[in-house]
Amino acid sequence: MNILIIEDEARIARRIERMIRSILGKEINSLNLCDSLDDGLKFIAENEIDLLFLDLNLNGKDGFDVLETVVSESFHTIIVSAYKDRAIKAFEYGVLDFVPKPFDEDRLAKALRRITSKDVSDTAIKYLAIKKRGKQSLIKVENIIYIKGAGIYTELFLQNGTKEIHNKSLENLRALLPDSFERIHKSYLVEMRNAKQIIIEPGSKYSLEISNGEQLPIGRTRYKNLQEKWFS
Amino acid sequence: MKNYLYLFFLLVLFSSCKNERPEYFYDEQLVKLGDNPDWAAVDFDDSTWEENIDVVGQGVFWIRIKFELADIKDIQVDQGMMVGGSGSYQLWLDEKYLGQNGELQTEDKDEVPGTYHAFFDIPDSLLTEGTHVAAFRMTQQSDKIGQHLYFLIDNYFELTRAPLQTSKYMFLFAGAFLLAAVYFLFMFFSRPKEISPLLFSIVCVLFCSLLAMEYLKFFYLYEYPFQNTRMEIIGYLHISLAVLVPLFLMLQFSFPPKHILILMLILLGIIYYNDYNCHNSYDKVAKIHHKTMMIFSCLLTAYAVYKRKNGAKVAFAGVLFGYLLVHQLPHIENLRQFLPRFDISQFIAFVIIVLCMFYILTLKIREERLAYEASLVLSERLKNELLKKNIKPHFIMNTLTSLIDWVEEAPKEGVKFITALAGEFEILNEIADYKLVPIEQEIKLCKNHLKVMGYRKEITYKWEEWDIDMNEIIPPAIIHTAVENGVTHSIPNEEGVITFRLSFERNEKSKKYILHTIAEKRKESAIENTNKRGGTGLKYIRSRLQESYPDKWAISSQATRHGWETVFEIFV
Repeated sequence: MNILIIEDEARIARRIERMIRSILGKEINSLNLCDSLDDGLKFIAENEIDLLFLDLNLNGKDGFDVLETVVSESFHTIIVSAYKDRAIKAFEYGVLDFVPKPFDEDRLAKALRRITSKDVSDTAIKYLAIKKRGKQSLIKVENIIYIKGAGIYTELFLQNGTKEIHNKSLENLRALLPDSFERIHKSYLVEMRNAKQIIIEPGSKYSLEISNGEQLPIGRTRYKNLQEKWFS
Repeated sequence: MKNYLYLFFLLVLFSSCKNERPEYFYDEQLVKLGDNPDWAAVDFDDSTWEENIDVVGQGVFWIRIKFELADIKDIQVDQGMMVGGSGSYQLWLDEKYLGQNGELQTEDKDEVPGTYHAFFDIPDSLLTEGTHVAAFRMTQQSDKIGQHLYFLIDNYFELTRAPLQTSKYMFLFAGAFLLAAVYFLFMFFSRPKEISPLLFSIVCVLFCSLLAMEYLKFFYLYEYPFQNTRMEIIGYLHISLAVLVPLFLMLQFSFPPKHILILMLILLGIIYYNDYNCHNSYDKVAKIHHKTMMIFSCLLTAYAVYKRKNGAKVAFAGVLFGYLLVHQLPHIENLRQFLPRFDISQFIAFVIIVLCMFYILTLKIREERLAYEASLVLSERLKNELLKKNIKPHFIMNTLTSLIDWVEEAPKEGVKFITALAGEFEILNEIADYKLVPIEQEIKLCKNHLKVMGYRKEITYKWEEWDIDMNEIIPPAIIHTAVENGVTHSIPNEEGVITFRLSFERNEKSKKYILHTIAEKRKESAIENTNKRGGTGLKYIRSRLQESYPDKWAISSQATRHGWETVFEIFV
């Protein structure tokens, strides 16, 4: 895992670093520190990362200004900030976690666990930030019907019939989105309020009919779980 | 002859206090120097006598006045005669001796001056329809006043009572203004820097004095030479008011001092010119001074309205009404009969002006109180801001996070960190209640802050002082705020050091604190910085300087070869 920490307080940056190393151990490929937003953004542009730790107030600058930029990227973002009151807004924008200062190793470990196992209790995400022709724009999560994985990025299919590209993988989006988004196939994540019925075709082929009439394939291994959870 | 003026003066007064005009006689005063008891006779042939001859100081002379009583119906019993005149005299009406006022000058005795006004009973039998003769045997030793004489005939009781009826209202006014004068004088004593209440107090005293002097004559029977002194005093009161009322208006409407000076010179010029031109006529000069004051006040308040000054509209309306009432409306033929004469109307105008001044002053005082309250709120807000500095989440949470780390990793250093933090809190707590603190304490605060930041950022912050005068005082936490900004926006040099150098300069004009931050400045971010924290810091510094040195400070900050420089300048 490639990790970047953007934090202007040397002592705190090193604390985060030390703890991540202790939690993740050999899982870490690279771990870098930047003490300013500019350096951090430059690093992101030039290097592939999987996880970003971001302080919201850096050298008197508001990290929120870059939040929209970083959440539209493929990697997960964890905010480490003194401004607890901004957690809700951060979650709305699709950060993986918000770690308020001061923190200990347990809290950091909990945040890191979210990458793999989703903590259902608080998914307050309201928007997905996407990059469109170099500019950021926000898509309301409630407008998404389903998401299709397309290699390292994903395609978001919206209520108005349009399609947008997101830089995050289906796996990473799954971690951010609420439980109403169900993985029905290795390449499909559906907002289940839009699901109408399961269609069983000959040869044990299953598909899900959704509100706009489209039929999406259901993974063989996922059918049972899906049937039980949503249609029984 | 002055006597016409005096006559007119009194006529006006009496006419305004009573609808029914008392009989009043002044014409064909025939004068003759010399003394002869026969000159009191009704049918004495006075055809050789003259109207205008100089008799002052020339011993005994006689004045004979013939007058007609036409409508005898109005003339009832208990009639009296009020004489106003310059001199001591004995009086006969139709050869009947009525009495004496003062004692006439004789060869071996000086005159005992008569009172300016004197009252005589008239026997009922004397007042019949037809021609009557009043004969005065007089001396006038004092040359302070021109020779003149007039008399009124009316019900004796009315003669004495009617003027007092008018006077009572006037003295009511006078008393009210005297109280106002005392009140504003006390106000001035409590805040001697404010000149307006004093000025207003003086105007009130002058106005009260003017009323008193004008109406003095009705209840204080003074000797005739004093009449002149009285008129002079009234003249000076008019001049003083004509100067002070416009001055007050200019001060209240915040005219620039230069304009005030120029306008006052113009006003004084006009007053002097008018006074010089009309010096022989008390009444005319009073009127023209009054007119000058009203026109000037009208123009000043009109300008204040144009400049949208607080209260200007009401003041302008009041002054304009006063001016029209006294000086313009009486020129309209049909209106004249409904308007009070100058003697009354001038006081109405004065009352309006003083009330306007009162109003403006009250507004001003209210404004000042609001400004004072706002300054209190500001002080309180600044104090809060100062205290909040160290409990803002950014500061406290980052500090605590670092602190935990130090305690966990290097407990001994952690303890030093805690001590430094405690030091910073302690000083902030000490200085929070003061608008100015010793520079020594401010420096201590900065040093402590740098110690704390050193532990947090693991950067070596150095503090240097050049030529600091430890006796100086300064608003709390302003250098501290600049140091905070320096910490936030600076990158240390290769050795990991950022140096802050505070120096002090003093010259005749000002005191200067210069804070050098010797470091590299962080590049401005390409990302739009919407939350200008540096901006709030500067705002705090500005508010603090303005609070303690209103408009006598400057702050500048610029890049230098070695870093950054912030200059706090306080003008002496």
